[in-house]
Amino acid sequence: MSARAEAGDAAGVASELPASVLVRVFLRSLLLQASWNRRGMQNLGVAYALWPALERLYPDPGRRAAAAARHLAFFNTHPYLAPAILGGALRHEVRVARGEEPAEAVERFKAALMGPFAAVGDSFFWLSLRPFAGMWAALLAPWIGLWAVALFLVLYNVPHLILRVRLFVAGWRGGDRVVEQVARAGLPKWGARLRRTSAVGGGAAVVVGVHLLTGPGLPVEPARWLAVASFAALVVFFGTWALLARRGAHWAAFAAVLLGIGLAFAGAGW
Amino acid sequence: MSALLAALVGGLAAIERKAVLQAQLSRPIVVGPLVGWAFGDPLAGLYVGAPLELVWIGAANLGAALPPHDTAATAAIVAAAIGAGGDHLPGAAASLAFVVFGSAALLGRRLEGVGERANERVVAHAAAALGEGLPGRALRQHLRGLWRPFVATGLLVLLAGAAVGPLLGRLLAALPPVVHAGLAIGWGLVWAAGGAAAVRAARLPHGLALAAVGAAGAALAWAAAAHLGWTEGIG
Repeated sequence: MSARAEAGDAAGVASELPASVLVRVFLRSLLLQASWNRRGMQNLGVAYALWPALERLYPDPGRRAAAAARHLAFFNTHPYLAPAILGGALRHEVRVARGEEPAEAVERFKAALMGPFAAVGDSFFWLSLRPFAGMWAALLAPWIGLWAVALFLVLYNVPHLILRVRLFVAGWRGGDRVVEQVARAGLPKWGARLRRTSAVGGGAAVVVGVHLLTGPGLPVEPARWLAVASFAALVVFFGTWALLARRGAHWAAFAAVLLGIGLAFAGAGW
Repeated sequence: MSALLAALVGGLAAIERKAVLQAQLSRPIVVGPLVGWAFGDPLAGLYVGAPLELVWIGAANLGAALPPHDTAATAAIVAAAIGAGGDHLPGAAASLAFVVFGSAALLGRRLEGVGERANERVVAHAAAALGEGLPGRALRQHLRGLWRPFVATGLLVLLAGAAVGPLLGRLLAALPPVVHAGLAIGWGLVWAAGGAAAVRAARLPHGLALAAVGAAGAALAWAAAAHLGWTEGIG
């Protein structure tokens, strides 16, 4: 189909699915994982999200139920990139409803994108942006207090919500071309940068911990205590680094608490 | 009443964690102050939640692999630490609550897995309703997945705030001062464990070198701040 034909098609489609329906689909996509399960994963969530549009597109109850049923096939992707796929799936559903495409086209579209989008979303949001926002908010918390919560939410949610909305619109308008939109966002490149700053912050967290240990109410003469606390923090840091290859971080935190008690006993003998 | 409000906050955060929105209101650095607010002390919640954010910074739900349930654990730890009351060193209550409820992260993960298996039955009901030509009823099944995380985390937080917290308060009061101080020191060291967790989570070959740069920068900033007399902080 030519670009002009596609543009014309998009205009026609828009008149069949009003903005209110698209908004409802988007809002319902925020509950995508409410019934996440190991067999179909987000399948029921997809059918739930698309339902307002399917109701509109298929006046015949039989075709409507069949349309909902085909979205119960296995589906799993990153929840923030799912709106891109849902938007594109809607565009395909419109064509299916018009008889311009077979129903399998919707399934093929979803199946082709869910894996790659899951990988991109996991890497950027879960492993890069969230650690970045959490790290810097936590590091500054001792000084900025509750503003740290606002900082975290803004750092994380401004890009998250903008992308979520824009990708839904891009999927709806562009159909298969949403892949180009996701590629243009450059998420892997930004993710790598954010992870580097998180690693820098990891080192700073050791110093923040030592700083908090030099507050009032803690033992012995300051200069000596600073040296001991710094050494203990380094032991915990490298011990955790080694332990994390096999155990969860909270086991290392348990060990840190035990070391703290040990230090206090040692300090009591000074 | 505070424990009930905290249970409500914890339950809602547990839903937000995966089922609804996922704006990260369920992360330790947010849910800590929120539960603290329920007890009238959001700063204490932040004091506990900030290092826990680092400890569980790499916890990510990748595919079908479930991470430790940082939300349930943080909410319970904060509720127990504040519920302990009294005039203890803040780190001491946090450490003791962490020792008691840190493993709630693993319990929460297990319960989340149980919930996901139960959701398979929800989907089967939905498919059956679709087969009967009742799509509206079928799709409403989707929301049945919401109650389990709410109830499980809410009950845990209620237990922590209303029952275990006051017990921890008595225990802290009975502990010798040296153990009390040791627990407080331990909470400072948890930051170092969290720092290592963050560097690991970055998954970079030169992560330790970058961490060394961060440590050096922070030490310089601390020295400069001390020189200028800037010593305020929640610690």
